[in-house]
Amino acid sequence: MSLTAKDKAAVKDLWAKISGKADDIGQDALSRMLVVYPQTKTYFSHWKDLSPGSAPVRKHGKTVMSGVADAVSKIDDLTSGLLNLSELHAFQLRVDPANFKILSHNILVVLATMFPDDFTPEAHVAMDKFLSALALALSEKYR
Amino acid sequence: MVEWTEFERTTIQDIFSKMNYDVVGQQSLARCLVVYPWTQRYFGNFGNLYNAAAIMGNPMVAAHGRVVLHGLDKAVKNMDNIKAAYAELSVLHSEKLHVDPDNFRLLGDCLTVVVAAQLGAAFTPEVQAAFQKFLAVVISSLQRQYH
Repeated sequence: MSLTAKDKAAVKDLWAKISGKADDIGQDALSRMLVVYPQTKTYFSHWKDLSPGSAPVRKHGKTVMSGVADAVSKIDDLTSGLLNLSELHAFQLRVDPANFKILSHNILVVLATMFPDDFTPEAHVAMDKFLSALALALSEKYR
Repeated sequence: MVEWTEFERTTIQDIFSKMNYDVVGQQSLARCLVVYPWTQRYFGNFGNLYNAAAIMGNPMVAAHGRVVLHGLDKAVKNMDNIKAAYAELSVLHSEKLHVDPDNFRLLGDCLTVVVAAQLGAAFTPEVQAAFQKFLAVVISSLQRQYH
């Protein structure tokens, strides 16, 4: 299920509309993940406050979304483009890759709440494929 | 037995009592057929499903979306025993319709996205958690009679 030219265009198109709110999207998606999938909290035991919209959640949402922005710019070759991030996740963070799906789902839910008119079914399928490809690139170095 | 908090019960009753079944049903099923095109395998007789526009405008998809969504009413009205309430529907999906149960999850995700778009900021993380828990129980009950 690789990204077609149409998918890439749709992702860039949607990204142009939403990138201004990237920080809010990141914070909201992360907040939802921690509430709806409490097992994900195990990765953040070093944070003082895991509640929705807290300072560490806001800061980390920004970090995550700048990674997504980077991926959009490298959409033509995610695997090589995200090599450093893959090494980070594989060797240092060691996040179980199942969680990439969980965060992706929450990003899509946030896009639906914040951009109901722009997040059409066509935009949805392109974004879902893109986030899956991103997750795959992030898993590249795991084993 | 699934344990529901007061908040979860109220949230589910609230969402479904205010829901426009025609709109949400059509949008959820159509979105599922667009985002996960392999789900179209179950709708060979629905006519034109060739592209997103065709799917979104297809009257059979709209009608069936409504049917599926009303199927959720059973769960909304029987939250304390969804498993029993869905025994027959589970057998139907397994023995007669031969639907791969993974599709329940795919449709559930699309329904979540559509409801999220409808409710906007009111679809808080806590509301999302309640809604997804409800769908998870429905999906588990629908899979129960498969063998």
